[in-house]
Amino acid sequence: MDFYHVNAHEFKFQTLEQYVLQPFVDLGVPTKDIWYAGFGNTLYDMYAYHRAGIAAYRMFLIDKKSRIYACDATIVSPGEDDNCSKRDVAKLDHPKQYESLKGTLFVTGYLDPDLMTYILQE
Amino acid sequence: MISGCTAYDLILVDGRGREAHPDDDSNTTVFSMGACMFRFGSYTSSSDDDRRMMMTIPPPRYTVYLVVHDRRTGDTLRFPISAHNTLQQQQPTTTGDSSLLSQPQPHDPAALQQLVEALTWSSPDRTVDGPPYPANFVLVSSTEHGETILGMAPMRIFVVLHSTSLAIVDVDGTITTSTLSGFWNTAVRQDYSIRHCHAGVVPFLHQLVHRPTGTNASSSTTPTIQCIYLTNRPITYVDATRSLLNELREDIYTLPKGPLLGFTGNLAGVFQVGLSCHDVYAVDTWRVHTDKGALLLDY
Repeated sequence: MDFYHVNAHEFKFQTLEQYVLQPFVDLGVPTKDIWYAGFGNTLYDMYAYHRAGIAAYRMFLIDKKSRIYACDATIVSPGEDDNCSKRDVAKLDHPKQYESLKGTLFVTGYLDPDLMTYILQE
Repeated sequence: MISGCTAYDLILVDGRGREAHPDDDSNTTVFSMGACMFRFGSYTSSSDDDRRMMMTIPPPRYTVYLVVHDRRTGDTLRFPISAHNTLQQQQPTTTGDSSLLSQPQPHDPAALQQLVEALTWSSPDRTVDGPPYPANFVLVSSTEHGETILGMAPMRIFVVLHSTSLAIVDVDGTITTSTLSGFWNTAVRQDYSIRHCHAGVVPFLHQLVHRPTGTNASSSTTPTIQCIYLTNRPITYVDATRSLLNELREDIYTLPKGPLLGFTGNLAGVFQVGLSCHDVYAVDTWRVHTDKGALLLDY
């Protein structure tokens, strides 16, 4: 029996880059204008989406209880202003580090009307 | 014929009308497309006589073609796919040049333009509401006696505008309620009922793409959104996954149409990938073990 030793996040990032992102890049479209949102259920999804260019606060993590977290918690360094506005963060080195980005919680998940409002806001 | 011929969908980006940049070499590129993903299962001859016969015949040349229906003329167009999974002209100007195989070949621009014209000539104002265009990857064997079609892998081509924004949606665990059980119930048992999915996922995605305009101040600046479904499922389950995405219903809503992209490995590779992610959440109640080479699941 053959096993493919491919990590999920590497596979997804490669797929997004080669089959989705590249056609837009070839046409000169800025990466920030390509992605609107990313929905996944593991931190590995968040890692892959972020590497592909989706802003962290446009990534949404759903758990087994159908609760959805927006990855909009900013990473604050010592001495940094705690009131810094929502912004994209630098790429993290390991998928598990994206646990710290779980921010706004939508308790009822897809049924939460605030989720659509949140996504559509500028 | 080869069994197990499957392919993921293609995304073709229409760059007409985008703003020109003086220093941007991509101004000459009007259309662009992702690489082709297909799989043709292993061919097995039907008898020992066939195998002996095949050994005495000069080896055939195998070519994969992208075959589409030209909506203008009603003809069937076929574009050869290079060794780098890119689209080439229908009648290549050079043949037998093995040096080309070692060089990455982008999609041929003329072939892309011809493909777009053949698919969309009747719908110049296409939007994300427009239907995806059916096509096939066809594996052809060519000998001195003629051509033989060995396999066909149906797929769809999605033409999106360069100004379209993309929403990536994972399938198992994001649309379905669980990774392994979601895969088992929807892909293997082919149970497409909503009970295996998160409540509200279908109306949410439907309304995200087909949201009404003019009802709020930000709607005029919200771009057109195209959903792209990304899955860990192996390519052999692409038809079952497409069926799930097409047939899933919740209330009056259906999932928005979008290309399906996924894993190019096998089922064992899927579980290898899935199990590597389980240190993040509690381990599913599935137990995976092997028995004489077979992959077994206990729930």
